[in-house]
Amino acid sequence: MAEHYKVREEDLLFILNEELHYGDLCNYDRYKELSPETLDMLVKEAIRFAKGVLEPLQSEGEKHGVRFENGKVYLAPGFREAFRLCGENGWIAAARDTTYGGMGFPHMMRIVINDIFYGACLCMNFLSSLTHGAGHLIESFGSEKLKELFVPQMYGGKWSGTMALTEPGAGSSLGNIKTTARREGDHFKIKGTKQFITYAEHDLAENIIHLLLARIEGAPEGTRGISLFVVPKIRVNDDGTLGEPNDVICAGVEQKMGLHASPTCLMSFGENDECIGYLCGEENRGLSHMFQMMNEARINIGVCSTTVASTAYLNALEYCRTRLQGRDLAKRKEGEVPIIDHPDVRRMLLWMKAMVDGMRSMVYATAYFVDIANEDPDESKRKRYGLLLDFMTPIVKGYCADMCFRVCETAIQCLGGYGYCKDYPLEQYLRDSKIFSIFEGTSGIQSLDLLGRKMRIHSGEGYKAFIEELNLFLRENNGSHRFTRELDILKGAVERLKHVSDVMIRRMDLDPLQAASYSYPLLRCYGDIILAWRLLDMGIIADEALSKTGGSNKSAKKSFYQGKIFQATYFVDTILRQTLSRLDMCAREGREIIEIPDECF
Amino acid sequence: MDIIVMVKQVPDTTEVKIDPKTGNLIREGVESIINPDDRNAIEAAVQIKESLGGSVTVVSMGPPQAIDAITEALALGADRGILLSDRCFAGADTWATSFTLGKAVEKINDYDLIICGHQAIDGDTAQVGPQLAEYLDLPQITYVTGIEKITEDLIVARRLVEHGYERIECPLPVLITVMKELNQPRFARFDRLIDACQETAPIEIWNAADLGVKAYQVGLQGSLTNVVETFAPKFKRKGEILEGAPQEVVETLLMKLKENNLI
Repeated sequence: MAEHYKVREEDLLFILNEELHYGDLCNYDRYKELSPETLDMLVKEAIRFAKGVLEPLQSEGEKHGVRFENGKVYLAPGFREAFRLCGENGWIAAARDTTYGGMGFPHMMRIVINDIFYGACLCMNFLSSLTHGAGHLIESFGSEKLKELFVPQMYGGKWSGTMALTEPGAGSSLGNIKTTARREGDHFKIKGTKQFITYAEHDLAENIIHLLLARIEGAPEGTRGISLFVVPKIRVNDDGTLGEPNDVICAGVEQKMGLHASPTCLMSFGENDECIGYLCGEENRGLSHMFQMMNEARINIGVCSTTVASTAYLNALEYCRTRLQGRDLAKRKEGEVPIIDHPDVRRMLLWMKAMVDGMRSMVYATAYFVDIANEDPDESKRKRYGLLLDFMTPIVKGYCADMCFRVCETAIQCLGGYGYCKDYPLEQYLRDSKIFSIFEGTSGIQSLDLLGRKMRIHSGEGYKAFIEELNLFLRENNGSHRFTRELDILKGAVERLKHVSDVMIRRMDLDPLQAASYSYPLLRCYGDIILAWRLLDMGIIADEALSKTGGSNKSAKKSFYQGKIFQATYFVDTILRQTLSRLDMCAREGREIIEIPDECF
Repeated sequence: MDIIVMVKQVPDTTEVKIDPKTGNLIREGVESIINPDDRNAIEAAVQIKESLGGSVTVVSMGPPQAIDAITEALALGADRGILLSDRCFAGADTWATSFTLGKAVEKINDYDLIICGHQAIDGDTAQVGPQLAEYLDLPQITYVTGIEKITEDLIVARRLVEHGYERIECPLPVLITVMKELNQPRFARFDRLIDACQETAPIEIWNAADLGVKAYQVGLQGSLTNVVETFAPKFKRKGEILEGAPQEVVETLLMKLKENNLI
C-alpha cells in the first residue's frame, strides 16, 4: 500500500491560527516561554515525525497483528522503536509540566499532536495516549512517592500505561466492579479480572502500569465504593529499579474487527494473591479521579474520529481527481473525465470536506477551552469555558465517532469497487473506526450523559453557557452580509434546539423513558449545530481574508478560502434542514419505542 | 571539532502533484523543507560533535523565510545559524552560490570540516559542494556514504563510485558531500525546538556588505551560466509492425535493433 496518511497542514494551521489564534495561549503565564512560532514549528515537526516514524507502522501492524504466546503479546517489528522515540523525543507528555518530564506545551497541542499521530497510525498512538493519560492520573492524584517513581518513566516512554476499568460483568455499568483490594501495610493486595484492556500486555516497554479500579474490602456498593490503584506489571523497588513480577497475567487477546495491531487483553490480577497495588488519590473516589482520564479520552476519540475521517476524505479526493471514468453529463469536456466531475461524486466529496473541517474545528475549539478554563487569569472566563468544555465533551465524543464512520463509508463509495479492496486504506479505516462509537462510553451513553446530566447539573449552567456561546457568535456576526441567509438559518436552528431541549429536560423528570428514546437523535442535532457554527465561523474568516486582499491571492490560497465558503453554505443549507426535522422528531409524542412489547420485535 | 554545514531550503517535491489533464507539475501550496541530503549532513555533524565535542554552524543562502530551515537545524542540534540573505544574491547559479558561501566560510574562519548534502532535490546539480571546496582550496570527498573514522586531524570516509566504494583518508580541514545512506536523521527534540524559536536563538543574518562582496559578483549578475529555457522533452513515437513468417520477422527485428545501436 502506498503512503496512506494524508494531511493538509494548511487546514490545521488555518483553524489554529486564523480561527482560534492559538498563539495567544503563549500570553498565559504558564506558557510564557513559548512563542506562536514554536507552536507552528511543533505542528510541522509532528507531521514530519508522523510520516517518518508512525505511518509505515499502519500497514505493517495490520499485516502482522498481535501474537499471543504463553501469556506474552508480541507486536509488529518497528512498534517498540517508535514508542521509544515517542517518549525520548517528548511527544508522549508534550502538554504536561516539566516537573515530571513533560514538555510544558499547552493542552491543546496534545490534541493537535494526537490528530497527526492517530492519522498516521491509530494503533501506535493509542499506546502513547494511554500512557500519557495514566501518567497524568498519577501526577494529578498520586502521592509524591508514586509520582516520582512512576511518572517520569511513563512520560519518557520507558514504561507504558493502561486504564483497567471494564470487567466481564461491568462494562458500561462500572458500579458492578468486582475486583477487590485488601489493605496490607502501605499497599493493597489486588484480586480480580479485567476485560477489554487496551495494551495491557505487550513487548514495547520495560514495564506496564495499570491504573485500575477496584473495591476496597468493606467499601460501599455501587460507584461510591470504587477506588483507583496503581498496579505495575513488574514491581518497582523504592530506588526505581524493577523487582519481581507482580502476579499480573494476560489470559488472552481479543480477535477484533479492526485495530489489529492494538492488543485488547483479558487480564487476571492476583491469581496467586501476589498482586500489589498502590492507592492513587482518595479512597472510594476512584471513579471521580478516573473521570479525568475518561474525559480526556473522550475528547481524544473526537480527535481519532476527525483524523481518520480526514485522511479517508483526502484519499478519496486524490482518487476522484485522477480516476478517469464516464462522460461529462453536460458535455463540458470531451472523452472520459475524472470522476470528480460527476455531480454525485462531488456531493459526497463536499459533504466529507465539510464534516472533516467542521469536526476538526469543533475538537480544536474544545481543546482550546481546556487551556482557557485552566489558565485564564479572569475567574469568570475560566468558569465559563470550564462549563462549555464539560457540556461539549459528550457531543464531541458521540457525534464525531459516528460521523467518522459515515465519512469512511462515503469515501469507500467514492472509490467504488476499489474502495472495498485492501489495495486502498479505506476499508481498514472503516473497520478501525467502528470502535470509536463503542469504547470510552457508547454513543448512547454519551447522549444520556448530555441529556440526563450535562444539560441539567448545576441548574443547567453548562447548557445555558453553550446556548449563550452560540447566540454570542450570531450577535457578533450580525452584519456579515455574505452569510446573512445562513446565519438566519442557524439562528432559527438554535432557537428550535433550545425549545426542544427545554421540552426534553422537563420530560427527563416526568417521562424519562420517552426522553431517553430520543437522547441520541438530540445529540446528533447538537453536533450538527456546532458544526454549522464552526463552518460559518471559518467561512466568515475566509471571506474576510479574500476581500482584504482584493482577489490578489495566489490561486491556490484563493481556492483554499473559497473552499471554506462553499462548505459552510452547503452544510447550513442542506444538513441543517435535516437537523430541524430531527429536532421535531426528538420532541414527538409517539411512544412506539417504549410501548412495543419485547415479543413484537 | 568545529563543523560548518551548508543547508538549502527547497520545495518539498514529494508533495508536488501532477495535473492529470496537462501532465504539468502543480507547485502551488507546496511546503518548503530542508533539502533531504542536508538533513543527513546536519545529522553527521551533530553525531561528530557528540563524540568529539566542538560546535556545528549551519549556513544557508536564501530569502528571509529560509530562516525556518536554520531554526529547524538548531532544533536538530546545531549551535549557530547564519542566513545569507540579500536581494542581490537572488538568481545565483551554482558558481555564484558557491562563491557566496565561500565568502561566508572565510568570514567564519575557524573550522575543521565542512559538510554539504550531496545534491538538492530542486536543482539536482550536485555542483555546489565541489565548487565550494575548489573556491576554498580544500580537499574534498564527495558521495560519502560512511564515515569510518574521524579524529581532530583526519577523516576516513567511504564514498560511492560507479561500481563499488572507495575508502579515502584525508587530513582536515576537508569538505565532504554526503548521501542519504550515511545515516538516519533524527527528529527535533522539544527542548531544542523551544530554544530554537526564541528571539535569543543564535541566528545571524549576513548581507552582501557583511560578506564584503559587490552586487556584480553574486546572484544573477555574478553567475557564469544562465537558464535560457526550461521545457519538458517531447518524445515522438513511431510504431512499425513487422509482418511475415516468424523467422523472417525475427531477422528483420534483429537487423533494425543493430542499425539503431540498440544491441
